[in-house]
Amino acid sequence: MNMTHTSLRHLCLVLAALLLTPPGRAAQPADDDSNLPETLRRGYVGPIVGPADNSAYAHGTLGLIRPSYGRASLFVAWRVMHQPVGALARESHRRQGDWLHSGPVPAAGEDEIAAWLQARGTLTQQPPTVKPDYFRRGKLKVSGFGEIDVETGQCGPDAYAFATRTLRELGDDASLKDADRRTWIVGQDAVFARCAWTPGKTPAPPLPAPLPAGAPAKLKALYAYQHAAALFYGDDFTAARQEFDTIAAVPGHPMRAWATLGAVRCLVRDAEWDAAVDDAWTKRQLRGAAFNAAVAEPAARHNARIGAALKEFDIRAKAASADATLAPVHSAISYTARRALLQLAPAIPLRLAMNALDRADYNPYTMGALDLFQELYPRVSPDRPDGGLATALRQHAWFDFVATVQACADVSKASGTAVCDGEHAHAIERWQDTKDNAWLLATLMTARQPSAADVPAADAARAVAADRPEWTSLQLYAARVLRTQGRVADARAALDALAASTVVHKRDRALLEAKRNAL
Amino acid sequence: MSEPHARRRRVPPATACVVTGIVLLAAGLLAHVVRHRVPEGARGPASSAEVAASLTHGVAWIWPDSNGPRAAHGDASPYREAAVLVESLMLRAGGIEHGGRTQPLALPAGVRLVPVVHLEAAEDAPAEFTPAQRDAIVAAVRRQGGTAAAGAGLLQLDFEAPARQRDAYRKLVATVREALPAGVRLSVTVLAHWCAQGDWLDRLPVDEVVPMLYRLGPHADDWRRRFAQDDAGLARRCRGPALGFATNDPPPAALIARAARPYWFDEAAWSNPSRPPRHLVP
Repeated sequence: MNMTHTSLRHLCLVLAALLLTPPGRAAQPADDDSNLPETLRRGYVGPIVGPADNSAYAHGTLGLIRPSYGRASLFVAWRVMHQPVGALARESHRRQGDWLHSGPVPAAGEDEIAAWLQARGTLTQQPPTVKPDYFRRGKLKVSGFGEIDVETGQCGPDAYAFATRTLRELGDDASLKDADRRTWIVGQDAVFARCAWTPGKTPAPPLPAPLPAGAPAKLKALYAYQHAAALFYGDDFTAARQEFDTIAAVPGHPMRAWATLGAVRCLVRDAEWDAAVDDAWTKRQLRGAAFNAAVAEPAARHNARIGAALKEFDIRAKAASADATLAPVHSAISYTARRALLQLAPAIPLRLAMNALDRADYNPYTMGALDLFQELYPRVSPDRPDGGLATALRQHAWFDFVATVQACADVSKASGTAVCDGEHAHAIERWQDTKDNAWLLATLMTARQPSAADVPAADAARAVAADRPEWTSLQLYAARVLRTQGRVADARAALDALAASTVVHKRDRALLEAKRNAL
Repeated sequence: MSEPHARRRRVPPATACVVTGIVLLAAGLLAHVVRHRVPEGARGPASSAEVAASLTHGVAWIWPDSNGPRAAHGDASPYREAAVLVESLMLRAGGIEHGGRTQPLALPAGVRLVPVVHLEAAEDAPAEFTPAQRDAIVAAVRRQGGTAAAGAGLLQLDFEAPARQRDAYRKLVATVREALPAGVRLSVTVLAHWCAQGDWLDRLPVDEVVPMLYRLGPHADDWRRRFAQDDAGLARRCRGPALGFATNDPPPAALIARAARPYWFDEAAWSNPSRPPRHLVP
């Protein structure tokens, strides 16, 4: 995996430790699969991308595993196969938190704009000139039709919540007068006036008006931040970043940590990069290698900027964490660091999630590690990774198993058969090295055209104890090998045993019958 | 004109009664056999050609990550209408997340547009919508009402309302109906099993109900058979001309043929993504 930003290693280790630590809360009953990844939820089975009974599957009843299962389902199979029989039968799948929050997800409170207006109303009866809003109205071009009115998010709830919190802090600051606080509110109104502004037709609402020279120093410091924020919400990310950087460079500035975050957020809204992608993908309709070539240079600049920003952020986050006087904002800084990583460097939290999933005894549901993997994987890798990325990802044994088995999900094309056969050879090697039942299963599942070399695996599968969760699948795929190698009676015995088993879901009975009838 | 009549044989009434009875019995048996012994070929999934043929007179669901089905060079449009997800609202315990299409879209000539307002309820969303949530939904519908009027004259509400929000959903549909401009019809997508839960769908003030016949789970074949056979146990509105299918999970051709107004969804974004794959965008 091309995971740069090695300077962030320390931060990652800390975050990894937090990821692995579920909050100290009593486990909930294991009767709810609503927190399972989508591919494990009931009903998400057409075409077959998951097991017939997701809950039973995740609790250890694997039934017949197919190569067409999604990554999450195959991970769960791997995990179940590396547990003692029945170990997961009563495991809780109740979500208790997530990586981003490093614990329970905060309960939703009242609407953030309403809270802001209420806090604001304690100091001024004058309503804001422009009604605060989360959204910006715009037009979507549809050739062949015209334009469609749309809304897009511009100012998140966090922005209003932050303003409310800041105003409350100003209320506690004895160095300020109510007139100062009202001045700050006027500046903040100017910031939020830009939330609903749509670029193009009218000029952006005015920036916060400069303060008088004699204004208190703290008010001036807060004004500088408001000015940068107003530039940001007016889509002038270059100017906003410069101002955020200026603030962040001032030791002791009350908004220093937040300005660092603001600078990072400017990078996420990188206008140059967005324009390059839009030009190459939408306007010039470039695809594949042509697209990659067209965006290579702006991508390199974008990555360099993000790398530098994350490095700087890491330095400041560490300094803040080491500063006991900043203890009240430590958790906020940690949260901000995580958000920055999720947005700007998904490969890092992906690696953390995959590391956590390496441990078969780690509950992948409680803190959402499996969901995090599912969310981030498509942002880092194509469905089937190759080259150095594949090498890095496949160092995780479970992912190696997933990639191996999935290679044989679609062998309708010649290229598919070649990939499947290559993975079959890999599976045999892994099984012979490890004597692991998961690799035994992978060997048999990938035996597209079984040969005599597969017979030892088939015999080994027949010898596996019937109470093992993988026994069912092993018998099915072993029967295919035995049948093609002329051992029809053994194949029949395997399928008959399966037919008599209660763990084969009724969805899979038809497949089983077809296999038996084919003998 | 009189010749055929003159050539009819006169049949004694008792014989006619017996013959009629036999014919009716035979017809009934035949109908039963036809219903329950669908030929193997008709049970399997439709071919790609059959899917494409259905789409040419149907509606393509186009989600924000897609630019919709592409016509072969010089060919006519591969679909008749485009149901475009333009606004999406995630309803949460304490608020709403707003999303939807941001990428421009090009529709083939002659294709009519159906704006889709997509709703999702988060796990913590309350059983009743908050006033702010209701207002946001109605505002989205009003915004898109004009789009619908200029397009196919139809707006679609796509909401797999969880069971706890069933009452709220019914009220919402009525509110949405009132919010639409006169002349704009209202379509709703529904989960297949809703169709087997009494007649509540029949009482919805909508013009079109689109049962989604994909991702049906372990009992997919049963569900499809019921819809193909116009099972009387299904709500009347679910037995209309509109049915929703997915290209990667195509139903048997017989069921496709039942849909005079097929909607098609493509999980692979019609192989025509509106944005680069996310892993290509650093």
